Amino acid sequence: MKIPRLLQAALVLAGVYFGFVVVFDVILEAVIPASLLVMYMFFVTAGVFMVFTYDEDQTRELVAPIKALVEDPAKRLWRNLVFAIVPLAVGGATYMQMQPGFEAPLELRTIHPAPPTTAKIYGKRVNLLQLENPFRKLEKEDPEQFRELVNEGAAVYIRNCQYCHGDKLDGQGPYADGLNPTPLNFQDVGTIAQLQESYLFWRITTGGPGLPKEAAPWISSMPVWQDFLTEDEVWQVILYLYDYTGHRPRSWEHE
Amino acid sequence: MSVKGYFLPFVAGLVVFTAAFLLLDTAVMNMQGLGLIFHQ
Amino acid sequence: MKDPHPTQRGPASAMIAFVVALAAVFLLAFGPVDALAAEPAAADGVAAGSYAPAPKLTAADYPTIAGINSRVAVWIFAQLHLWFAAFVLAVPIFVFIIEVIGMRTRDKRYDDMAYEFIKVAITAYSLTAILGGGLLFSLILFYPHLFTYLSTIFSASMFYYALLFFAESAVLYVYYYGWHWLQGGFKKWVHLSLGLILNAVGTTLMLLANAWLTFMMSPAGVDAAGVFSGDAWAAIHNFLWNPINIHRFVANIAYGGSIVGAYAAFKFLTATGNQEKAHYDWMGYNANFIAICALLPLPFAGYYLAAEIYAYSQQMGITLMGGIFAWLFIIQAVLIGTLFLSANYYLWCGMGRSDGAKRYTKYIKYIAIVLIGAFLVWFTPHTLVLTNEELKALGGPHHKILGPLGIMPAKNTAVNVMIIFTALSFMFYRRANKVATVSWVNAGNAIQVALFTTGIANIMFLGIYHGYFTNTVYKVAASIPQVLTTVAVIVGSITLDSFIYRGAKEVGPLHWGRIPGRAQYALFLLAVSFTWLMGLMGYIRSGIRQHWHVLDIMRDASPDAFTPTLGYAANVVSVAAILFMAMVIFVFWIAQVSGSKTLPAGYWKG
Repeated sequence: MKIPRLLQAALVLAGVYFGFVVVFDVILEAVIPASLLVMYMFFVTAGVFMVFTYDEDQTRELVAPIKALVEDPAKRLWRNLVFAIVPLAVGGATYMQMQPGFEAPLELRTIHPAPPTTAKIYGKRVNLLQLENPFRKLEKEDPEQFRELVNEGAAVYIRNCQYCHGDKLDGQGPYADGLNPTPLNFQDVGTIAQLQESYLFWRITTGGPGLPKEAAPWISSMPVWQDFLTEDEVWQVILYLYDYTGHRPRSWEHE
Repeated sequence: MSVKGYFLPFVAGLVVFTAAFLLLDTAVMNMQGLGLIFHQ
Repeated sequence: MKDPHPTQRGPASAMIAFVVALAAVFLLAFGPVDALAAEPAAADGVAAGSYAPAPKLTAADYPTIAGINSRVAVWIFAQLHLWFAAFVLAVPIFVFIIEVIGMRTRDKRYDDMAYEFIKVAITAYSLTAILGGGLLFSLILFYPHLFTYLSTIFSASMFYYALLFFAESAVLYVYYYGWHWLQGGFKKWVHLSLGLILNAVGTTLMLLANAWLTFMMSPAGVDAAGVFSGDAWAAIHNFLWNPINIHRFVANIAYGGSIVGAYAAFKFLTATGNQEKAHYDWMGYNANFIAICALLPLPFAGYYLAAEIYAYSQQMGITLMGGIFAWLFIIQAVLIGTLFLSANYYLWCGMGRSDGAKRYTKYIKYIAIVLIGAFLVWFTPHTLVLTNEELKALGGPHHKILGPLGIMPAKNTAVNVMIIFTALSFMFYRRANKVATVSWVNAGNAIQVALFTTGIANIMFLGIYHGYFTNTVYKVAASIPQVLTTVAVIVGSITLDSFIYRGAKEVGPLHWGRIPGRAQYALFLLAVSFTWLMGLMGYIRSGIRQHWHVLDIMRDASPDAFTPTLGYAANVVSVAAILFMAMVIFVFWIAQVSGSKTLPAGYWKG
């Protein structure tokens, strides 16, 4: 039996929707956010519309049941029923949407705050565009000393940072569950691997309060480490972060 | 629909184009001072 | 019956002619500029080395006019001017190419179409000038110190810019009004040369204007205090000048194609006879073709521009794509996907023109699945908007599956796939009306499939391996072979198809006009999406400067120097787009009205 085109379209849409839900929520156990699912389904619907209407004959077939419902005198009962129920349903859905809830409002978080050109760190004005890790060159020039510095960085990290960022630098430290936003996962290719060392220096030394005014309020729990660590210690920790995760800091060209 | 007239050229195409693309990748990555495969 | 609208031949020679023209343009562009470099301070009577530093302004230095928001005024004038300028620069490019095709094939329909396109551009030209004047006035009125500073540095280029408009107007008017006069033999060559010069002048104008705005983003030829060194060429040839030149040049063509496509769609829907419908259907097809051709390389020009912005200033780069403007890039992603979907839908609907299309339409749903899938990856944000419940369920704001789709390697992969599959849709469209007669057609098709398969596999390898299993340097570098793979697949498959279909039989004449009305709305959607997208990108490009008039050199101290909320910015862009659409409708109407005649009975004496 041939499935009417309209029903085919509806089945495809339902299939895709439930496919997303089953795959993400059930199989992968990583919930697909509603905001994203809505956008995905909007464009899947557009795609289904495109596929079902590029051909004139197929479009006629698709639209035929709707045309019949609206025009066919024999379908008067159904028509009246649908014309009564659909507005009520839409009205009801709108009402449910507009009802105030108890959910805290959503926050648009800026994942990558833009660094300022200069910042006041350790009492002096630092140009972040030109700042370099003073120990980075030792990686080639004096590997032994470099190793020592990395180890010192490791010690600083374990004493101060692993509580949130985890001993495996994966953002799964013992305090991590209590924090929102969660501590960064340095293993992820989207964090320190994409950034320059001066950026890390800025973030570590100025912490949460040092974040830029755009996209405030920040509720970052990152301490202002320049109050607790020396400048050398911060650079050593940065060496350790890259060394442990195997990422390289981003290099930059400036004409 | 002649399968033989299709299958052989298809496989030949796969081999030739794979080689060509890998060559392209290597050449362009080399031009940027990098290898094709990542070495630490 | 012979197909009244034969397929295009001779695009290759048109391209060569055009490249030659471009070379002429760059010579023209660099010619006067070399003269600028040779005579720095002496030209304006100021002794060398006596330029003032950039002024340090306060809020009092910005004049206001009651009831007008200075920033919005400049914003809207600039954006409207840019939309029209893009159109007015783009049309001569493809009109030139179409005229060449017409001359090669001796098919008058190409010449008529070229004329109709330039007719639309003529009215747009005066609007471009009016809006440019409006922009200039508002800059002088509302930001006088900035304008004084910039015009001191760019005095010579601004003066030549103004002079060049004499050339642009003269050439454009002779080109348009003399179209029917300069017909046949030598006169036609003269006419074509005018088209070439028009393009050269127009491109030079764009290059000059690009220098001023890129200077504001990546200043050169000035020291840290803003003191000009006297070297105008250094200021023009700043870091972001060429990336913007390339991006705008290609984007203009795509945009111009979409606007004339909207014109053709409008004329199709209001056509009163089958012949008229067929004519505008053909025009819409050509316009869509132009838009797609330029659209295919455009993502790479954009990526190059963004990469150069990041290379110049980490702060601008991160603000652009990692910070506050990142959300606008999700809108950009959605709009670009919309462009691809509209263009593809128009092609699929157009397949109905051919009686032989049924052999290929069965593949359309698979193309659609890939396109939609790639599109979903393309716009998936890195930071997801989560409810608190979802946040708890995920254990944090990062999604381990969807998160990786939010960074560029996934998106580069997705866009390359979208481009290849759009080219595939186009290939099927071209094949739909042909039956190959060569003996090796099976082998040829097999090689085509192999080409696409290996190309896509290579793109995925470069995207996934280099994107997620190497480091940042490799990740960014791998985007180049990805692009080249896409180019290779498209050029390779077109070349191969030209051999496979050598001497091919036509299934039947193409039924121009046999296309549903909703396909025309796809063309409208193309134009509107493009417009809004350009408006959005224009705001972002300007906005990443934040509180600087000239980055790191001249601070913006006006009361409006704040980054507005995303919603506010989007609203301004929307209002500007609506104004633009209204003006465009006016332009279309004028192009139509100029051909109408009323015969008022009994009005005139005698």
